[in-house]
Amino acid sequence: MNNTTTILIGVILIVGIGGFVFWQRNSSLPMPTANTETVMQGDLATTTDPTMTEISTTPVVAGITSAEVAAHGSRESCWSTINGNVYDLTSWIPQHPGGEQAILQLCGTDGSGKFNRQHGGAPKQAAVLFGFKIGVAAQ
Amino acid sequence: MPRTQTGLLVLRLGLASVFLWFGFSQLLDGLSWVSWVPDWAVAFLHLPPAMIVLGNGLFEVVFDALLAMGLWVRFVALILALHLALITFDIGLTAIGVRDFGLTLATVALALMGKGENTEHSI
Repeated sequence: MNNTTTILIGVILIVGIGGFVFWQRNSSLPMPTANTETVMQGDLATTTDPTMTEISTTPVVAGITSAEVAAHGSRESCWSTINGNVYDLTSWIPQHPGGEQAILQLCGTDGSGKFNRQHGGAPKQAAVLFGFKIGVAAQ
Repeated sequence: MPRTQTGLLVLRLGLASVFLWFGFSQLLDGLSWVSWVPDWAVAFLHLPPAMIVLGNGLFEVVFDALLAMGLWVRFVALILALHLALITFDIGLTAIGVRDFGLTLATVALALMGKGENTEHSI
């Protein structure tokens, strides 16, 4: 195989993979809305960014403690710490494709290990998770 | 084409596909990757995690493009192998870490063999 053919194959691969990723990113992502109502209530309301949209785009609350996360360990209010960020997964419980139990077991805990083992490195799941971000865990 | 060369072509294009997918994903959807940036990288580079993701994505796309096009295969594969080895070490013994360990060794194999043409002299 000569060099021209090799390079041509490479270019096709680059354009193909780039186009695929672009298409993947722009295809219909089932992006859920964050449960902003839960965030706005309670003792965190004063530190919550009032401009927060339904899908969070920035860290909203800094320094959420593990005790605060543990206090939201139920189906009614399900928070979980994943890779240093805190997520309100309440509204995702009935929507999770893998079943409710997979989310319920994360409520009130540090779910980093379970999430990373199941979805680590998967951009789609990470993007869905990002929609539920309510803040950053305290160090 | 000899079977060995065909095998190396498949290995090279396969690895390039994987690396390119991750590289483009980081460039096009960087925020999804921010949580993977280790604390030591932020402390070492003094850059925001999002910038590190973009830089890493750019590095991967450029080097993977060279790999896909068959340019400086041994050198590029060696750099990518070292890069992936660092990531694998950081992730640790998880399912993802073990998978990346396999990919690292496959990239090392490519670094050792190159394109399979005049192997002893190719870079």
